[in-house]
Amino acid sequence: MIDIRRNSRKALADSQLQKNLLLTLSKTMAARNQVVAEVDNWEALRTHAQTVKAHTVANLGKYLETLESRVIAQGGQVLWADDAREAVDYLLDIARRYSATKVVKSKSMLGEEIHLNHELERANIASIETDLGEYIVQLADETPSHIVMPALHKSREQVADLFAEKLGMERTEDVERITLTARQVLRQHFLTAQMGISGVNFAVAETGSIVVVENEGNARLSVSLPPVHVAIMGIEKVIPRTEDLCVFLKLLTRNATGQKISTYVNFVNGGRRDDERDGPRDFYLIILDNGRSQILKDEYLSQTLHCIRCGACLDTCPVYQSIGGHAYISTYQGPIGAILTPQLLSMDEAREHPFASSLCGACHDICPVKIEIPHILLKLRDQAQRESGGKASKISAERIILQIWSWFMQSASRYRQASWVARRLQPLFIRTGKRFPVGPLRAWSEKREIPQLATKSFREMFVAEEGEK
Amino acid sequence: MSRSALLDKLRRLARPEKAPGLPESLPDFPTYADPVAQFRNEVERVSGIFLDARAESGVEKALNSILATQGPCEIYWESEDVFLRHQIPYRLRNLEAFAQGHLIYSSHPNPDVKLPLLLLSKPSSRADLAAMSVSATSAECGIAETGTVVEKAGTGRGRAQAVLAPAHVTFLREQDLFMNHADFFAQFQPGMDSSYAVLVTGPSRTADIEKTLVLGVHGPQRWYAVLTR
Repeated sequence: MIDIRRNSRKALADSQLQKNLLLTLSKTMAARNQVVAEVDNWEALRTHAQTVKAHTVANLGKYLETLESRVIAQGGQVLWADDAREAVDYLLDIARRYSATKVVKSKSMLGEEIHLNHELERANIASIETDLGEYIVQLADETPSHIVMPALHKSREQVADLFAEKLGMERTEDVERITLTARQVLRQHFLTAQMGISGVNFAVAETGSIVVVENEGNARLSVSLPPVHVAIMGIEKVIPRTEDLCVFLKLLTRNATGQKISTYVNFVNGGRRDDERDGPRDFYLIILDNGRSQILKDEYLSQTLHCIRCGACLDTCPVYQSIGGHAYISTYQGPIGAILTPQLLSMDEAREHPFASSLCGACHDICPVKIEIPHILLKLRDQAQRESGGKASKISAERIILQIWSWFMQSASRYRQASWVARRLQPLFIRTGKRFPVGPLRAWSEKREIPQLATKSFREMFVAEEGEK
Repeated sequence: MSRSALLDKLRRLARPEKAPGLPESLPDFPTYADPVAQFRNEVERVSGIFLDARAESGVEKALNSILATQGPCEIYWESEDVFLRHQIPYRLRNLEAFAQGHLIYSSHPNPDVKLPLLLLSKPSSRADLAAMSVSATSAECGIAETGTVVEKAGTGRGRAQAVLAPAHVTFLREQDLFMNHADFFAQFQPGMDSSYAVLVTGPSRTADIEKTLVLGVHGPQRWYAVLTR
């Protein structure tokens, strides 16, 4: 099982990480809030997007088939993969067919999910991440810590050290010079790679278009320069119509990076046509399930698949803000990761994920497609509890306490007596550093301040002021 | 194998009767009394350079201003279409050679402008493309709401040219400017006559290190939008 607790303690003690998180997330949220405030019908846009997603996810098979037929009509090839292994095998097979020794990759969360870089390297194919953030993470031999900002856990000093060490450039903390170096190194890779791999933000069924949203131009180069382009998508990325993109793009780019629109929104419809001057000869689309279809089984939970990966729920989450992304040890972090991970993997592996939340609801408020993350978290907690047979000791202790609480709350006199006792007993614990010194509440109270009960209850004060009725 | 199994599974799990239909109308999108002013503001907001070339000999003035900023350079034109579509009044020398797919030069009608204008008319190697310093293309259309231009691959045109050079010039006709994204997407049919289209808004950018904005990470650092008649 992934031990989020242990990782969180480590993250909380890492002062450099805390500084980096605060700096980046506060800037991101400020920019996001500003551009969202400019839109007077934000709620109408969210409702529209939610409706389109709900419709699509309920009819996934139909739209994926339409997408497939349109892609094939444009000369592309469509490959269906049940799991990561099958998707990787397809990719290795294509790489072999094109004698590819080098692949340029633009950002793809799905690529992370199937550990694509690792698999390609194992087959002696150099896999180069070309998004600057992803490139930094790759050089550092780490994993992304955010869906949209993969290297947000790194400061400029840390990136300066990394570039000096790995690329042999003179150490500089000048972000512009670091970026220029990356441009030069990566440009050479673009000019020599035999294969380009991209993710997919949206796949439009009616036109067979793959839509890739980005700012740097690396996705544009990845789908333009190498002789073959392979796009990989999860089954939930399909949308029925082009016209709805005006809504999705407006929500996605504002929420993700605080931009009115990203610099490049690429539409790929197959490989190069005969009369076109450049572009890949061949185009492949890999459609991957990897656990997604099992999420469809539960009608309520299936809204998890509405996510468009804007990452805003991470930015706004008090838990993510405190522990960052790596603590989740998952491709998807933050609130969306907390609901997606146990459903994609298994509850056994990711039992702690649904509990890594304070249920404050900020993720639901910010979600561009209104996924009810807090309620899904509760449902998954319930599932985790049932599947473990209520055996997890901390959970059953919680249950006993709540049962006692409920018994006291059911009668006014019991409540009065209990609170009278509690007000007199509490000072004993408060004196010992606001902690329960022993018993099952010890761990619980370590992380929480226990509010001090007033010496007089409201009822007592009310009676004193107004007299008993 | 996977295909039919997966599609069967998805069909079994589908619940169309419980889901909403697709919305029949779109939420409102903003409109502007002066779409050109909106377009210009948005281009400048994302650090793009807007040049208004709608006036008499505006294109020459715009080109001179670009050349003044860029210094000595060759401009790589995507195709002759750019000249035709935007009525760029260059007397092209040696049109036959161009038609045969050779690279040719033209001189500017304004004697003060001495720089050659290089025409690329053949499929080029990646290395050729990478050597460009300034590239110029014609936009299919633009979107005032966000200062966006739409470029397409197509006959004699490719995907990569407009993103490789450190500076790029996009020519956009005023009549091709849409008010907002709803108007644009209502008529946009990707794949209809081209394998690739792209919405471009500003120079290439990144903020992956401490959210510090840097322009020109992979694509152009300078991005000009020239509005023509």
